Amino acid sequence: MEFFSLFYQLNVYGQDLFYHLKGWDNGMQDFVAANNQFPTIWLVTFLSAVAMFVVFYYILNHPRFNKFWHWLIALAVLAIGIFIWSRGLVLADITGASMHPVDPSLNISADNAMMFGVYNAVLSAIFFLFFSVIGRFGSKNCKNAPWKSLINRK
Amino acid sequence: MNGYVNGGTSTFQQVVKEYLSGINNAGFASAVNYYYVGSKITSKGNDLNNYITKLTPSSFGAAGGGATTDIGGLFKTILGNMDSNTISIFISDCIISPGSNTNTAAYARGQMTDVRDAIVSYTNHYEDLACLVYQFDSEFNGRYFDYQNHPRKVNMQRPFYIWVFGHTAHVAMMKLQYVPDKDFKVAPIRNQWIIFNTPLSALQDNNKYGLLLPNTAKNGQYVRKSGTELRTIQKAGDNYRFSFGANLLTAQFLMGDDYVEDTRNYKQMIGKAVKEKFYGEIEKDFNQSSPFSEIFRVDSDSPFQKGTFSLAFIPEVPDWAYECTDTDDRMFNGANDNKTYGLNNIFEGVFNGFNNGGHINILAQFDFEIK
Repeated sequence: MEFFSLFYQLNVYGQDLFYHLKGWDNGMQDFVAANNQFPTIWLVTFLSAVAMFVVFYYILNHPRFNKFWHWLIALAVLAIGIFIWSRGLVLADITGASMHPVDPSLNISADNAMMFGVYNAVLSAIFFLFFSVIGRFGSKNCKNAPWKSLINRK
Repeated sequence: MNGYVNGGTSTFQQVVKEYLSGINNAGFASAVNYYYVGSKITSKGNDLNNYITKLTPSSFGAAGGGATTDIGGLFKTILGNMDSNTISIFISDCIISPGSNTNTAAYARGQMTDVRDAIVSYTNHYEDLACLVYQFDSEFNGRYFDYQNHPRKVNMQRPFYIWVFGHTAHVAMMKLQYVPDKDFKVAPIRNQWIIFNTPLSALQDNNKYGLLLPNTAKNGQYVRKSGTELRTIQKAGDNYRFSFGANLLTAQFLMGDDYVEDTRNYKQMIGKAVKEKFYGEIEKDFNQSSPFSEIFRVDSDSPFQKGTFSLAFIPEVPDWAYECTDTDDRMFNGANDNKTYGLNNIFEGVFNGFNNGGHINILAQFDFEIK
């Protein structure tokens, strides 16, 4: 499970939120694997990026969507979706409307939820960029988005 | 001891009666027998009322009381006649009276050694031993022999002591369940102390301890890898610090919060040897849902060395034993009215008995890996 936490180590959205999402249990005074939300969050983020990549390059795969800004729109749709979902997930924890209510000993606010949404959106964008760089060559019409590939130039 | 007894109505006799009848009422002992212990052991049957009301100066004299009080010898007698199913209760003023011995300091040290030897001899044979002592005050009206064996008439409040010896589980049950502190109605317990050699892990189910989250400045700044692993301890304020919680509930019930939270009772260990005293603070964990009862904050003015950090709970002689020790009882002047001559020697003897040779009486140990 440490693998998933690795992607969320950068402390830009609040240390207490990191502890919460990693599964801190006040009653146990320890991290509980069953409460660890990072695997789910990472998988949703990663698979969303994979899905957007497949949709853009292999399903949509249209010559009219072969420009950089078309690719940018796909990335923005992904990032905004992940931002809304991630922020909502933390807000639900804060309000106690989820399976993982925030422990009172942890100081987590709506600002932390906002920052986590941004963090996870950036992470999804990085995943999408990564797949775009390494996996677009099989696409018939969009392989030159976001930029012309060196492989295409030969 | 003569000044404490007056036919059954003194506080001393009432406290003793209250305690012993509490034990009788609890019904956990298959048999209770009473004795006078002096230079010889005199059986006084098993009738508590008879035993209490017949406590008189002449009855003490008949039991072999003399000018010299050999507390160490009494410890040897009592512990030497016990087995692991026996609880012995020893009630005494605990004044070490050197009698005609001119080197009083040497005599007192000899008493300490005798007490130690009594403990060691018992634990060598039966291993498990708990030693509980209560201190009470009672009116004393009679002849008092000072440490130079000079008698004088004294009529004032003086301390006396009830010592309880037995298997740790038995003594713990007696203290917590059968005759709890709140049952002493005649006179309040002035002080008490218990020492035992059964690790806390054998006395309670939940022995959990673990690092706290470094999410407050008070806890320190470090990376918590797991409950017992941490790294990158940074300076927080003036010191490097990390914090952990531990469940010491049973110790708190038996020994009291103040004693358990006294940093003197904790030592930093290297392997099986004491390295140095504990620097930090201990406070109660008020988090209701926490599995811990105490929070330890470990401080160092220099960076912590990488490797294993071990902190051991090793009960020391309580402060009150030293505060209640008199070094010159030829006159009571207000400052030493409630003190007992040579008391520290008995306590140190008990402590040394539990920490004899290479053995350290560790009741709990908290190990952490600093990376």
